[in-house]
Amino acid sequence: MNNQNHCISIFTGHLKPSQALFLKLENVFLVSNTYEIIEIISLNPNIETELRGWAKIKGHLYLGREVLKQQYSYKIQKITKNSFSSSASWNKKMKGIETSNPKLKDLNLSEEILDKAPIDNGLLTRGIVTQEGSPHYNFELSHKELIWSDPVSILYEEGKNLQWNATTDIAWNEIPNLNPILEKAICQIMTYLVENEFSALYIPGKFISKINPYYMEVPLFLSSLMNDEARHIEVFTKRANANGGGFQYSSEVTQRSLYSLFKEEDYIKSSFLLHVMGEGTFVDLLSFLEKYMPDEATKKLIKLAKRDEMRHVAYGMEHVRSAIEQNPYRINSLKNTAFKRKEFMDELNTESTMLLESLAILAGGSDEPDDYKRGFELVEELKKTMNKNRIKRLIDIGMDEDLANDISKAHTPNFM
Amino acid sequence: MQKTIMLGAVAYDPKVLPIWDIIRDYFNDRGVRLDYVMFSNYEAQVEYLLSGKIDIAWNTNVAWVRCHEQSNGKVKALLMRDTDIDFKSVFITKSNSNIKSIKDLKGKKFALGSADSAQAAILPYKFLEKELENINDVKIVRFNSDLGKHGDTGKSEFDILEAILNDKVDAGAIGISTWVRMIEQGMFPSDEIESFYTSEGYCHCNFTVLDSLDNNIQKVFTEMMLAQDPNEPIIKKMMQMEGLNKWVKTTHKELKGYELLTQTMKEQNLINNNW
Repeated sequence: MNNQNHCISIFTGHLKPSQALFLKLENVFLVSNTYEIIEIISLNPNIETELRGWAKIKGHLYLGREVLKQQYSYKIQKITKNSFSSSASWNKKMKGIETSNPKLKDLNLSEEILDKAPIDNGLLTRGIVTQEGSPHYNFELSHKELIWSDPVSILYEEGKNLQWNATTDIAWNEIPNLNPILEKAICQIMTYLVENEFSALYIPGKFISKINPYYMEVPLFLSSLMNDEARHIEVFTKRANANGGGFQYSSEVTQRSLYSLFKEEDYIKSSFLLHVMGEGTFVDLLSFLEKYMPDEATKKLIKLAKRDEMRHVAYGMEHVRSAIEQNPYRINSLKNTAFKRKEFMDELNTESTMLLESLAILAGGSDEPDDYKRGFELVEELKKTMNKNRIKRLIDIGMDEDLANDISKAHTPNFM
Repeated sequence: MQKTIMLGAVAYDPKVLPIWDIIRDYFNDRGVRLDYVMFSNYEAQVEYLLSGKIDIAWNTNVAWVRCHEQSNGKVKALLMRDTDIDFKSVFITKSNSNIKSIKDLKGKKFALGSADSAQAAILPYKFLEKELENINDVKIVRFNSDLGKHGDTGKSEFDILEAILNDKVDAGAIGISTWVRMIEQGMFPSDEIESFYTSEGYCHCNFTVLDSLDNNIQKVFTEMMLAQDPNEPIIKKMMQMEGLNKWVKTTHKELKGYELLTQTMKEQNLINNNW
């Protein structure tokens, strides 16, 4: 150790043996190194008994008292092992402060972001020095490759900038009275959207406490993502109840599909199924809904929700892409996950009929046979678009085209 | 080693159980069978050690002196806590009381703790006798509590603090570790109480065995205790609860730290239990 026996002086003035004095001593000894000598310069001539007694109990060595000019120097040597493995940083000022625009990405908490979080990283993050003997949380997700997504800091800022308010940002009073058939279809669609948004809220919620906060950007982003999903649940619920309708039916196939997503215990697989496959497909669905919604207010809320979902897809794409890059064998396990989910869904082998009919009525404009038929064809087109975009995303994260085709085809007819 | 080492300790506080569980597990995990027996008082523990019903006793200094004297010196102290060496008694009073030394206690009420506590009663009485021409110049007020626990609970020392704060007595004797704890925990208004006398050092607890105990058991127990790593979380926890930083061997030098107490206990007729 460099500064063995280096003498640190603290000035305690008239402080008598008291809680205040012992607290100060405790902290000086906490951050000093083994064998360092701490000099207590006091105006009190007779605090030797208490200092000696304190040192004894703490396992330090009381060295003695010297009389200085009108002051007294008491020396104690630290004998116990260091409490911290390194010194805390000082003289740090983050980028962006001068321009009053400090972003998450401007934080420079450590020289590098380790591939594996230190074992003693508890509920704290990079740059905070942990005291020896602190409990080990053993976070399940402590490897960078399991959770990290490069654009996470940027997406977090974007998420904050693009926040909106489901109470005040939608012109609720401008939603026109619609044909009850059409309104009912919209209410059924909103019901389905709410169910799916619950999965998007609860699944990250299931994993967030397993992520080592050493990688703090990830839980911060996920919490903003969860806030987005909460807002979506709110806005779709309000729309279902805004125009004389209300919630409609939940189909078994939707719940079965969401359940198969919810029960996934592996974070990468879950991220793949939820963000890449599910939310990615959902973005296409929302584009479809935005296009065919008959009123501007509903179009707007769909559009705002879609903007949020695209951000979530961006996180998941980069997360899974870099996980595959780190370990190409992961492709196999992701493939198996997708097929396993299909097997589970095949037991039912059906689509959500109520949803599909509602989508057809919305796109066709009514349930008149001709409109309905046209609407139905548009829904078939939508499924093709979804498939095409899914394949594109799968290729983007590192799969070859054939496999991308197979996996995309295996995706649940429930979209999410 | 096939025989289970049977260790005795006194249950002066609920935390004593986890302390000995940790030590028992430490031995058992390393292939040495050790178990413990809890006594409600040191007198029973001394009796059990001297009659060979337990192998090792975790003794206070008073219990050690009794074992030593009652067995005619046929006992051995193996180990102690670092904090058991150079232990002191402290006399405390209100800062504004004008008591600055033992001489100032003439005509005052002075509190002693439990009669079986070396630090709060037995030795302080001796220190008063040494410094005063006539001990009867001081009115002794005794705070006997938890007899049989040899002052381990600290209750009588806290009673003394309270009596001083409430002006029921002028001063009193407590152990240094209790004094530091009182200050550290802010148990009295800042600056209101101060110490005015600090005794010479003496030794406190130790692990006592009969000389006749199998040498191998003595050796294994001593070595394994000394090998405990204070940085291992579970050991650290145990050491914090038991109030030590490390275990140390009791050598000839440490044994001298019991001489004054032995002499005093003889003078005060305390070699055998008399309460």
